[in-house]
Amino acid sequence: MFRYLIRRLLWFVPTLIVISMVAFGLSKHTPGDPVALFLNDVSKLESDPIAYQKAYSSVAADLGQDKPSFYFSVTTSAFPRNLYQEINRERRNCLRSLIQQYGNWPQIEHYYQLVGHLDNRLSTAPAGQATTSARVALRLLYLQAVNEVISINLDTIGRALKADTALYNYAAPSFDSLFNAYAQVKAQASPWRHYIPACYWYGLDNQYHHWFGRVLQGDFGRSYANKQPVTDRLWIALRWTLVINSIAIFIAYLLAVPLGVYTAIHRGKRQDRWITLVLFMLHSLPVFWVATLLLIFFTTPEYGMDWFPTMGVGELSTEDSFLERLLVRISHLVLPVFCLTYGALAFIARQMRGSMVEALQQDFVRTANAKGLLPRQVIWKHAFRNALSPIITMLGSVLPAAIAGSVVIEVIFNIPGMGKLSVDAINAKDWPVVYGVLILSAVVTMAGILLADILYAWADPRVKLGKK
Amino acid sequence: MMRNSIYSACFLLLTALLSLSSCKQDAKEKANWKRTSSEVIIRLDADPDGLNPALSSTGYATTVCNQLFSYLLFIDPVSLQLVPQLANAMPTVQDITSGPYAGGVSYAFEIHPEAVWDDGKPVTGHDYVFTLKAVLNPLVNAPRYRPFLAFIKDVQIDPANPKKFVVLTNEKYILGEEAVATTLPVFPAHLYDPEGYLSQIDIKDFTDEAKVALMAEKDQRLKQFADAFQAPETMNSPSRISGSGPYRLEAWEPGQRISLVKKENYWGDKIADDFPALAAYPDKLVFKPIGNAATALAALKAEEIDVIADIDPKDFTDIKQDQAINERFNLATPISLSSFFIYVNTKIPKLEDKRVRQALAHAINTDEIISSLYYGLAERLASPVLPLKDYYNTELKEIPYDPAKAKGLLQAAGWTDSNNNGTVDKVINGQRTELILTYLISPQREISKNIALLMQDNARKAGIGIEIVTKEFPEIIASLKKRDYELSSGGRSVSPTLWDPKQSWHTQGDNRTGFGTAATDSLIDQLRVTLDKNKRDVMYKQLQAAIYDEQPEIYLYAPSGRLAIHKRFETPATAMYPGFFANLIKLKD
Repeated sequence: MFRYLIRRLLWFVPTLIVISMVAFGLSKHTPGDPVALFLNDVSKLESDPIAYQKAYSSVAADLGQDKPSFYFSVTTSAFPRNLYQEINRERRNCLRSLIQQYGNWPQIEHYYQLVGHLDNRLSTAPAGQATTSARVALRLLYLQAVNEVISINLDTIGRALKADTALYNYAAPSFDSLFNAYAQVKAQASPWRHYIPACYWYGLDNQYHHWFGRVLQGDFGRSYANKQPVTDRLWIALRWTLVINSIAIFIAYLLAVPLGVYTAIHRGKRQDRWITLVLFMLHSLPVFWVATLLLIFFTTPEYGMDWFPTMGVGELSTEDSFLERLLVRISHLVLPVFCLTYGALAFIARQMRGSMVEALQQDFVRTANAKGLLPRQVIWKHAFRNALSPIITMLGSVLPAAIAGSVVIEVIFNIPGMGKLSVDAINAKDWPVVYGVLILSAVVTMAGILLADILYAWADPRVKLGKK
Repeated sequence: MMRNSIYSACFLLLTALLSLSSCKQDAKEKANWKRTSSEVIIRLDADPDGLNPALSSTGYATTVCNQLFSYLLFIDPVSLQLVPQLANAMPTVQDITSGPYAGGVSYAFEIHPEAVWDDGKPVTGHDYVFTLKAVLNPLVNAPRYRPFLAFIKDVQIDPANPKKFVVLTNEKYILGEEAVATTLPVFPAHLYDPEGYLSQIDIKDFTDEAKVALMAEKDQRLKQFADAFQAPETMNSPSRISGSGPYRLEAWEPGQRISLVKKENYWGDKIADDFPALAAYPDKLVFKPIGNAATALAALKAEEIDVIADIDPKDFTDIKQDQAINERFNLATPISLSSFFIYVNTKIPKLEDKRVRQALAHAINTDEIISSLYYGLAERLASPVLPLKDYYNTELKEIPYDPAKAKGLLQAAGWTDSNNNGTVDKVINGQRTELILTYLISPQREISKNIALLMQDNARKAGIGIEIVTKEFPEIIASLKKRDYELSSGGRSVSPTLWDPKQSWHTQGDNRTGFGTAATDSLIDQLRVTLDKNKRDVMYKQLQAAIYDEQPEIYLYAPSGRLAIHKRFETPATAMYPGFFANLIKLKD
């Protein structure tokens, strides 16, 4: 048993690493540029490209986005090792799609440098219609990778230069080299490089390493939203989620187990049919619908049943007595706990009934009855214990769910638990919090499964953990 | 035994519930209104992103911060004019004719003699200078404010009276006064920089871009200050957040409430009669973040909140008919400072002819959008300027829905339905091209989708096909920037005062439609430095006419604010976001 536990715990490590990698990988592929998000409301800044670029670089460095993403990258030989050094995500995407088309990085890099060069040149050129249209077209070249569009823009710049002699004299050499550089990109295309795999090693100084290193020390970073440490936010949310879910799970099991046993004993009789009908109905009522109905009927005076507070977990005053405080909390939690309970109750009771029915048909039950044991002893001591497995399996999955929180309930009743925290964090693109929730859920899920295994062994002596 | 204990637990729970409900009902019978205190509970859609005005950026943060901090000048909720707040009068504005800032403008302010921080120390020009230094420090994450402050070059404080100071700028700019006085509230230097990292550095070192960049690398004090100033406590801790506003932060429980209490000896109370921007009526303000609209509405009905803004148009129309709500709440629909429109990419062959864009404008039934999707709670627009502005060009008429006229314009531009498939077409670059346009919308807003569907239906009658493409918001922005789109939904907030068109309309701005020529660029450049109102208004009107003629953006509507405020209060509804000023919510006598 002990060795089994150790082995399972050791398995946690690679599992957690894989989960962290998947989470990190996904974060790299969510739409939107984290740096731009962090700079938020910078549209005003964009009229000043130089200031924008400066602000962008400093935030990118702060967020560690100027480092390679991972220890290594597996790609094709067309891609250079240091593409991550172009920190602007949009420009990097543009370079990436140019490389995908032409495969010749040295030429592409040269072309892209010349775009910057001409940009600098034009920014000091004499003002006028020609300069204006040339600059507009040039700005788009930073982001465009489609040949037709690049050609149109190059053409526009060419025409603009020809239309203005002063500008022509000033910027034509830069433009010509840019034009030639693009021609070179196309002429010397080497898409065959995409058939040669390449692997680049970046070492430990990468974004994932720094992030996961901090996570292992329990530091999930700070919430982008209110700058609190993520761990603090997780604890506060976890507290509420655990409170309402524990109550709900406790009540659900408390009612479901006897109900399941009762219906199994009276299988096929009228009581069984009625209870089954009710349970099926409960099970099929969607929780968001029930929650909204309860909210409208029982928390507003609209239908004369303004019995409960609408939302939140209540405000406590230090002057209130313990009983008053308890009442405030209970009044706030009744409806959410009810919503969490009824579905689980129906499901667990059905499972309990099913496995109990099966157990009651076993030979050892007949033997026990034949021995003349009391029906209560037969049911609870012999049949019930053997019918426990599915209930324990469910407990294993209920625990992670209890930690992750119920998104729907928490959002509708405005309860500051894990579910609402994750939704708010996702809406606000508060990634440190999202990853915190994810990693915590992963750990708890693994712990839940382990707990279920241990409980199996306890409930059923035939299960020998760690032995084949 | 076990069964007994279960039953007794259930019984206890049931009794607790019943006693709770019955005492609630008693309370309800006693008075028609559940709540009578002067405490105001306000719904926010979400938590603010911190309560440091220099670092936070959401509207929720501004709504709360405006109660904790004060600005030199503030906007009047009704007239939308700038009025003094920390300053005791509007600034004296003078052209600078000589010296290093010749061609610029100086703004002379004096702070109220009464104005003090929470510890009784006076608010002075040194605090204003500190605020500038803090934001101009490149190591502080406040880049979005720097372009607005870049034209400030020096601040001269009167040595005899540090409450008097002159802000010197090197540029004439129509929004100069506003930028100098309202970009940020004034921070207490001694509380936000207790170590005095910045106090020994001259403000001129900060306003010189090259110098400050060098300092950021070499001078440790800038880094030390930035670390201290950006410490999370300055964003969320009641003990560290402090301003000269009427309220102080009492507690912030994320996801639950932010409570603000009025300062006992708020300095502004003494002079609030003469300076309305200093008035503060409620003793306590509680902001509750409630994400779910249905929950917020139920909380409103249950009188658990007093003020709610931005109610869904359909819900708003419903609650207008609701007797219980009308007995308890005043409903208001002030115009909001925002405009919704369609971006048109003028640089693609299908849309480069302005007649096609004009035809498109005639092919959209905006009135129907307003009546069926906004329940009439929006105003039509014809230009980027809202009609409530005195520089709005009244000669521009809203473009009527007229499919026949649209067809005529398309025909004139060479688009006809040659293959009788219901969509007009034209030969472009030797290829027959159907006029089918992709329209980008974001999935976040249900109403965008409905508008798109209506548009699609309308445009079909003029022979224009519209294909709706849903993309995440950041992706739409990326497409707009690359100008890799045909049509896209768009919206922006509108300045309550003057309009600086450079950002959206100058070819060197963040210009997403491709609008603009050297002529419009020079008009915009000129407009930005014309302080003479009459001359400037002429230019504003010219620019609006040019935009109207080109239709690079097809203007649809400005939605009205949709507010509910408990009847025990009175307060002016305003066009300013979110539609009310929390400090002006006054308990009726």
